[in-house]
Amino acid sequence: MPSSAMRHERAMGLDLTPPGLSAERFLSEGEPLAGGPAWLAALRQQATLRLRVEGLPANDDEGWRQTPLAALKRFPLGGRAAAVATPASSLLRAEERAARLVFRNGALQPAAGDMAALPAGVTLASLAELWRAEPARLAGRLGRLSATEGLPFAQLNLSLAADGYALLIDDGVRLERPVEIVFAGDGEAAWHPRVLIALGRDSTAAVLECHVGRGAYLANGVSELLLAAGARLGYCRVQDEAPAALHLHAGMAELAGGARLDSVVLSLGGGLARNEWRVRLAGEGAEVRLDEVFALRGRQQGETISVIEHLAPHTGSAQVAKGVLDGHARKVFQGKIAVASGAAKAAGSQLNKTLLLSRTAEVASKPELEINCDDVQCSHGAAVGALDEDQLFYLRSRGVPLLQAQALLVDGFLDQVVETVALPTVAAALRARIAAWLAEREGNGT
Amino acid sequence: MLEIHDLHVSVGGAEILKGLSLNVAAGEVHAVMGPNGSGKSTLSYVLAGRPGYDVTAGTVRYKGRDLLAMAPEERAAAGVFLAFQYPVELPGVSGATFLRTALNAVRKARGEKDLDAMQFLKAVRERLRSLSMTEETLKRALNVGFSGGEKKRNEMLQMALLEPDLAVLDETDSGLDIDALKLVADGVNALRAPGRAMLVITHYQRLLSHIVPDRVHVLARGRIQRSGGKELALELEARGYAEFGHAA
Repeated sequence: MPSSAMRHERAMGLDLTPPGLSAERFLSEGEPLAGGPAWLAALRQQATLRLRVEGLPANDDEGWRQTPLAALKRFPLGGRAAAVATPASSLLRAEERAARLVFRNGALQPAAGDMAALPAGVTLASLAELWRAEPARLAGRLGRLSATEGLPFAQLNLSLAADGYALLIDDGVRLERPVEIVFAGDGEAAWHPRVLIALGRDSTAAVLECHVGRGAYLANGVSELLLAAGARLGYCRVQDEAPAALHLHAGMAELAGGARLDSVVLSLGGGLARNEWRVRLAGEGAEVRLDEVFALRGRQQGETISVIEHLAPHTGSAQVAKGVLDGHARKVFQGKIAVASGAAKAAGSQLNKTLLLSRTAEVASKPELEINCDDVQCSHGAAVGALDEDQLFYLRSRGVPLLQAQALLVDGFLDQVVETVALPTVAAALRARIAAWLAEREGNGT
Repeated sequence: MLEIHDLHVSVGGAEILKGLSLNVAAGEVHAVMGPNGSGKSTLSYVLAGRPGYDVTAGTVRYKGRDLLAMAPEERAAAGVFLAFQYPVELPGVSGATFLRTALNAVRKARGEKDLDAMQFLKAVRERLRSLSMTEETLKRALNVGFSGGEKKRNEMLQMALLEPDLAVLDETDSGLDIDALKLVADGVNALRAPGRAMLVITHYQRLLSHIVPDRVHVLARGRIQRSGGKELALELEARGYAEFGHAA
């Protein structure tokens, strides 16, 4: 791993070439949105500078050893390709959602949105719009978590982001139905969508994000989630990018006392998809659930890297990831739970279970516990296996053909995560997409 | 209907069936009785096509076809049904999903149309009632957390829905109290039909007081040692399997 000292030397003029991929290509070709408040410009400048000095990651950097970074070089780096009319698929029916926003290649499509039914106390808006019109509402929020974290692609996002959305909920406001956000990609382009969700005290909201597309594009997103005391957020991301796409996402959350974040990611798409989490349980009794369901095939690679920090007493975290791998697919997990010295009675658990449908699929799992407090309960577990032969035979003995029997068992396995999703409409949307994935597999006869 | 000739089967290198021959005609109910370890379950699994059972010699013909060449799902589609001694639990798969998938898979293989949700429900309801089962059972994951009796009744429900031509019942009486045993036996008897053959595999005679067989075979040391009428079952109950080289 190139030490920070080495980097420092480079920065001091000995060798200015960053060790990993050059960020310069991105920075020179990207088209960040001009304007916005001075504080934001300063943050962005800082991120750009940091990227120029530190570069993008290399394979000998901790946390990036399993990532086929060379693939990045093939991707377009900048320019938002002309927004073509990709169908804006919707996972929810109009009456099931509170509102909808649609982005194509990172740019808002106002005509495709539906904002009529938003109650008072709820702001859902294009970020670019908001930072022009009401930057004060973003001050101290936008960039608050991502600016300090050393995640290079999150820096790149901060530097280049042109749009995204903000969901701001006032104290005590409860948004009953989920907000649906569609990010559709099309063609060869790169974009860096930015998400800010800020929930006031004791407020409630649910968000369903859907990432879809076609072509070989790079989507490099960052979501910052700020939950005030007692707030509850359900955050569901359906990552269903085009098979040739590169999907990078960093989710960063900070939870005040008694706040709760329930996140579930359905990971199906992308040639390479990397999902990073940085969660700070900052207030007493804050709780987070970071669940994932994944289904990968072909030569897809999926990565889930999480760091959950328990910073206050009675904080709780639970992570369950269950998925299937077919073909030559790979899945990488790195999950760290860090418990600070003051976080008495903290409880954290991690579990990942992977079903391998082929002999050539692979999974790598690396849990990590860093505990600086005596009075905590932490656990982690990982299991990898094939489908149960007895279960398969039982189904076949009832006339169910092998592929269909596998599909039924896989569906049952994945549903153990889906059934914990609180909103029935969101759970139904996930089930429908999983069923479609399984039907495609059956149809291919692989 | 079923013609087994000189069947030799090994499991993990050990020969379990050593030249078993047996014929069951349509409309007949045959009982295969035998002590533990005689090869009863091996026989039922081989007929259903479970992987891991090596047929080293012999033939099995079903309706004139080579049964051993057929995949398990093909056998089911052709009308073979095995009621498992230990029904398998399927976490995350509801009873309703399981039954409907199985029924429509078999119907599809037979060139029949899928049942829609309403037709399916109607078909299931009738049979649930006759087995004293509730619709609630169908919402639960199949066999997960079921009692022994519930699992066996579930097997009977599947059999009643799939309407097989050859039903193999492997130790269906094990784990049942007397009330459940009668229910299950009633279910089996209701399915007796001129076109349907049944092979009832059991250790004890008690099931055969309720499902009266046309023929009784004694399986011991991997072969049929003796065959007779229903009275043979009573004789075995009285005298045990000792004369066949096994303690009862």
